[in-house]
Amino acid sequence: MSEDRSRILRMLADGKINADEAERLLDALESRTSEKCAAPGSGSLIKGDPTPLLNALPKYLHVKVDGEEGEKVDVKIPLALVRSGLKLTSLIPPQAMDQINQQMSEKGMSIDFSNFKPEDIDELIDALREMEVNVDGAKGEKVRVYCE
Amino acid sequence: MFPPMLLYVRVTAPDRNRSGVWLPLFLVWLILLPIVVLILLLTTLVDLVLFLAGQRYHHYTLLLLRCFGVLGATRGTVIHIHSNENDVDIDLV
Repeated sequence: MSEDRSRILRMLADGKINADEAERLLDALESRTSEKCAAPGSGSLIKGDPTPLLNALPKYLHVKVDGEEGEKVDVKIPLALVRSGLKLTSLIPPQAMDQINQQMSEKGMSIDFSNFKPEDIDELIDALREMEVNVDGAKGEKVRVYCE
Repeated sequence: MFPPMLLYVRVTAPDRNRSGVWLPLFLVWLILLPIVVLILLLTTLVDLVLFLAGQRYHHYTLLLLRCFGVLGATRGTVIHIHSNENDVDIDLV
């Protein structure tokens, strides 16, 4: 077992990363190993703490819609846009925020944006990495939302 | 973070005829720059007045800057629409 592989498994065992993250790291390691075989060198492939590599992995929010008649819509949104949008909510004037919250609750979404703190936003973005929404319609339409 | 500099719109017809257009958004930003600077000065003044008047909310300048942040974060957005009639690709570069 290579040094990198055992380090990833150790991090998984220690609970520093979850199974998904470990799998992604192992995949990345595997692809790098094959690249390395093509251009041989020596030494460890992952140097230092791989946490920044893990944090840097998802960059885009994908929304894919497959219609019942073969139509397809694929939207790739940078996660930075989601982050900026959420940060913007903390600066909306209170009067406007009250109206937004009221309209949102009327539509069945009781989210109070005025309670959003910067650390909550970071946590929310982090949680998005694990998110995957799959909706299959009765007529064969599909909606998929995930981060990559 | 800079706002998107180019908008690429490509339309592919069923007969594989492709037509694409690069829209130079940076020209729009250049034109808007003096207006934005003027608005920023105005909001700074408004914020100062609100602060001196003891209002709790005096963050209009910051709000405007965050709006530019959102605009900048749209860079990298890709939209692909496929239908029976044609394909449309929109890229913000």
